[in-house]
Amino acid sequence: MVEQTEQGLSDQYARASPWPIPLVLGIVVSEIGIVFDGLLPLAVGGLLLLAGSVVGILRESGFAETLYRPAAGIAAVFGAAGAGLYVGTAATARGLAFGGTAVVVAAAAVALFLYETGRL
Amino acid sequence: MATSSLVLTVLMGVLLVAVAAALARLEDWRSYTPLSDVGGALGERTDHGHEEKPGGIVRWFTTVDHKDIGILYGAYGTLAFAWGGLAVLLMRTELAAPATDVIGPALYNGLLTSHGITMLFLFGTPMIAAFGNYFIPLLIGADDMAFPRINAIAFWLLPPGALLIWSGFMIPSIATAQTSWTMYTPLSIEMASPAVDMMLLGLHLTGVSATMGAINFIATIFTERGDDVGWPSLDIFSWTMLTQSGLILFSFPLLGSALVMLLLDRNFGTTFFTVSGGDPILWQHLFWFFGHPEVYILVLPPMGLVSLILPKFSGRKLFGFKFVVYSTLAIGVLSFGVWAHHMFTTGIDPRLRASFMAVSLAIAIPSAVKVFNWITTMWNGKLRLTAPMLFCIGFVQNFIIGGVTGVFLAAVPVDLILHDTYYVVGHFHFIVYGAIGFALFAGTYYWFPMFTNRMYQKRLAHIHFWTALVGSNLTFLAMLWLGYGGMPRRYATYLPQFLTAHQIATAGAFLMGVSTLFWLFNMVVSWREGPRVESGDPWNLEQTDQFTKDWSWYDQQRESPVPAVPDGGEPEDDQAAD
Repeated sequence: MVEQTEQGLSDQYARASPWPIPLVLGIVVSEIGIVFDGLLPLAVGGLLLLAGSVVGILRESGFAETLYRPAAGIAAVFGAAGAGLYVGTAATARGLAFGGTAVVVAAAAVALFLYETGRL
Repeated sequence: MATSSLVLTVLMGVLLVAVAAALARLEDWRSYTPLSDVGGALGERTDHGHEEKPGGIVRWFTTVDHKDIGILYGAYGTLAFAWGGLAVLLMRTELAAPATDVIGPALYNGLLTSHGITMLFLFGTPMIAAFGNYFIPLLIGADDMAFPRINAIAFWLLPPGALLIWSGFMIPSIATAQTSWTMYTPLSIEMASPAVDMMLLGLHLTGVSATMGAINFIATIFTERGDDVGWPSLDIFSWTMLTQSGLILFSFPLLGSALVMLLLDRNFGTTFFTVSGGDPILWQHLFWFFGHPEVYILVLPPMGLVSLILPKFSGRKLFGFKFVVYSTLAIGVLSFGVWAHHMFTTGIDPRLRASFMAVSLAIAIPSAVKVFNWITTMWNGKLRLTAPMLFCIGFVQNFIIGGVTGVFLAAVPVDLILHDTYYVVGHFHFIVYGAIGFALFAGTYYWFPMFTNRMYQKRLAHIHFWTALVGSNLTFLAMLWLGYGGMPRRYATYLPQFLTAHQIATAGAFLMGVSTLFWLFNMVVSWREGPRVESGDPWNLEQTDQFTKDWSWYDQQRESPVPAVPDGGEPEDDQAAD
């Protein structure tokens, strides 16, 4: 039992995962932040939450073996979306929100890479 | 502006930290890190997951178990049903007299919009998903849904979706969305309130949720069936859920796209549906290309419930099982070829109208196949008039009225007269409440012993049925009568000549409200203190060789060495009590 209490929730229980609600919050908050004018902090925060939750749930469910690879993938997608919005449309602020989030997620991916490969 | 941005940034930071803290409390993040020995660490992890669920409230917030998620869907659907029901009772109160006496036209329009969207997207679809989630894996012999986490994500998208859809009522400083559930352009573009944008976002989220759920059901039914469940022996409810999920897969993404286009028109200066530069009718095409399959998305699984439950209390197997399946598939295919029958009066090409009329009328054939099969199942059967059976028979009765009035509306010349009148309202309410609602009630009574280990109170259930049947027929027949008289839809006021019919409709609506209270009381009280079920076959299905896999699962649960815990209920210590 002692060993079990040290485990995380989804290690102890076969039918539980803590990730769905954070992931949904990420989707909802980022949608609101991107659609409505003047809510860019919500967009950035929501996108960060979404990125973190997607990485977490992929790793927890075994679809990814590391954290840094999905994080890098998401950073690339957000970066491309941000660049597209910034260059191709008048929604430059929203493009910056995507781009800024992409930078943070990319930095996190680098940190996770260093941590997971034992370099940190 | 700068200050509000700062406040938002701080709030977002607090939210992120709170989520991270909650996750850190629940989850051991280090266990995700393979460190150097990847294979070893992974191999070790899999040994630990032997308990199913954590206790207390954490269970409900973290569950990925199909039965728990089914109960969450059910609770959510019940809350939404209450919201939609109270909205309509306020509207019917207003309609008890011709003038605006109780609520103003603006609030009436807001309630009208909320009632429609709530009942279709927040009650109907989720309540069907509740039954699908809980019982499909049991019926097909699967351990769980194919994608349990996606299942949880699909459910949790719904509460924020509902809050966004209802936001106009919750934020006093903004006007409610008054677009009606069809959100016709250009009205929905020009209505300035941010409540409309939030409603569109909320609808988008519920659409994403429905699509995720549909993919999950399709994958589950295709890949997770037990070894002894082949396609020929797949039960009728799973067939209808499979067809419904296919319809969702093809129609909801289109709704999502159309909603995004509408949002872009409202906020980013595009002109998809605008009067100048765009085409308001395009919205109607896109909306109804989703909207008509949505009708079958809502009605097919309840038809499956009736096809599953009705034979159990007729003492006979479903008559013409194969043809009931074929008619389900036929309705599924035809449902994508009828959308323009909602648009006969918009001035579209008469040749198009004729072809859409033909396909719409053709849908009567598979629908009638089902009705005749239900009737022939009961014919010479040994009927047991339990509450689920009564609701199934009520379904058939209401579906016949709702269906036949639909055949009239499908005919162009009749539709030109009756379009946008209460006749249409009466027609589809016979289907959505009289049929869909009744089948869902039948399902709650039929499986009540399985998910609570207890029996409901029969007398209350029968009172519920009769008040619901009389109430619905009073209201919706009065609506058909109003429609013949020329009473237009969606108005808070009317001419004095319509007074009697409106008062009958209002009386019937309150009767339905009362009937639902009987249901709610029965569910809550019987779940807590109803008499315990004595066997794994409370409906004596073995007698007629209709003991399906869900009940044998239940029977095994009861006999397993670990005492059966009612799913969703508290663990019971007093197994011997009663």
